[in-house]
Amino acid sequence: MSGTPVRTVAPEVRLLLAITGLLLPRSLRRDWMREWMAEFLQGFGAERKRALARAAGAIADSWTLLQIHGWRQRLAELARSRATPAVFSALALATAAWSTHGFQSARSFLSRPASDRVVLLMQPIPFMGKSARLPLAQIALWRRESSAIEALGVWNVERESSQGRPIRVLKASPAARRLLAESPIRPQYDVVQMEEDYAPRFAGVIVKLRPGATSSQIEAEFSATAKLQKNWRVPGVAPLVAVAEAPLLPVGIVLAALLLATLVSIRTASAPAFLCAMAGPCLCLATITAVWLEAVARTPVTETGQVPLFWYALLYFFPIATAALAMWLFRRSAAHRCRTCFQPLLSAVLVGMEGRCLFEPGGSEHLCAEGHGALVVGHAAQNESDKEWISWSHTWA
Amino acid sequence: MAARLNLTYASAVILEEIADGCAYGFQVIDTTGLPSGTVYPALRRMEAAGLIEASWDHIGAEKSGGPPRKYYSLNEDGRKQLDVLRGRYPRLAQIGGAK
Repeated sequence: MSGTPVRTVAPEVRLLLAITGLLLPRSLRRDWMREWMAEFLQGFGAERKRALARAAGAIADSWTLLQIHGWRQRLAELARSRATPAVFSALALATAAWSTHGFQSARSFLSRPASDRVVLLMQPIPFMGKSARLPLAQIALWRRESSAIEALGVWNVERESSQGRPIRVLKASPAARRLLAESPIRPQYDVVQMEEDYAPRFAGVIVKLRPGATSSQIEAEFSATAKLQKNWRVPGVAPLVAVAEAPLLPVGIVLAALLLATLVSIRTASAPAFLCAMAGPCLCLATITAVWLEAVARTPVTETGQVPLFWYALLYFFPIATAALAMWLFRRSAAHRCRTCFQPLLSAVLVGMEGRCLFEPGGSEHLCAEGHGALVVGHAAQNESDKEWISWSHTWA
Repeated sequence: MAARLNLTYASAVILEEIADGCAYGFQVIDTTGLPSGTVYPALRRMEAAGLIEASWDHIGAEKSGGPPRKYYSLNEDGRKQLDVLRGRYPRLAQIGGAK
């Protein structure tokens, strides 16, 4: 043990080599890492920038090796790895968090900003030519007599004339503009319509409640003050947060049930296997839930207090369908993994005699490569109860 | 096998570098001035094409007290290919002569 003293390798170089090495299959990685580490340890200069620049070549190197020696094998290895689902889910979660500034909208939505006191007075849609908008005088009366309203804004259709032609202009009051700016409603005010154009003549009232006031309180106050003509419907009061919050409970229950059903159905026999089995579904569902909550927070609401049809699909169908598919895949994958090490089981081996029921019944065995046990499947296996896991003692392992 | 490998000028320089004897990756990088991202992929391709052979230098490692380095050396196919390359790139000989 003499000669040149062995140098150390900078941590960033080690990290780069370790991450790059993950591209390679295990059979190649060991020698590849030995070669690179030996080059650095055998007297490479201590200058860290130079070392890092030299180590950057390892990326092209490992990529070339991967191309030469079978990237298909590596992809198959990665797909079978017990950590892959958790790693992919964590990456998806991180990407979603990065692109939404840490789920900013969802966090604001859940922490209840001031906009949760904004309610919309839903106007009846005009029918058969009847103008069913609230007279502004009634709204002004309601505003004066109400004890629950902090701010009130209206937007309305006004008839005007341009170059001798009658036009309609949708106008919003300054208070309405302020309240609309902090709400998810984007009505098209300041829009000019020709008189002959058919367009729904929506007008709206947007109200901000005083702290502690409820939407049912202002609804009662409105009914007491407003004098509606015969056949007019009383406008409904829609708290904007309630409109957006509608999917939270039903979809949340379904997602929780799906996760619970998956976790209960996965059987493991050791702590590492349990962690690997749980990490994937939990992280995956966390990703789906976070993205869905972000969508809920960004849900647009129409002037009539509705959610557009496309958003219904996005808020109800998308999270449930995606979670159901993901959980089914997790359950399916877990069923064909060893319950001790959670590695994929080997291909089936035929055992017994076909047609026998008592002695040596026919079926197949999926063995664990590490020798922890086998999954025995009968020929007539229809469901999970026809599959039996047999653990082997440590002497076989 | 060698015919299928598209040998560029950089690959030819690397072959010329290890023609005289064994060389390890960082040595090729230092003497040719080529970046590590060029030298190592070229070495891998040439090794896969059967032009060069690699071996671990356990004796040198024992002397230095560090881990063994991987050395690359030309085999017979590699020498033939280098002769072809010397015809294609006349300046290669100058690199060889300068050493």
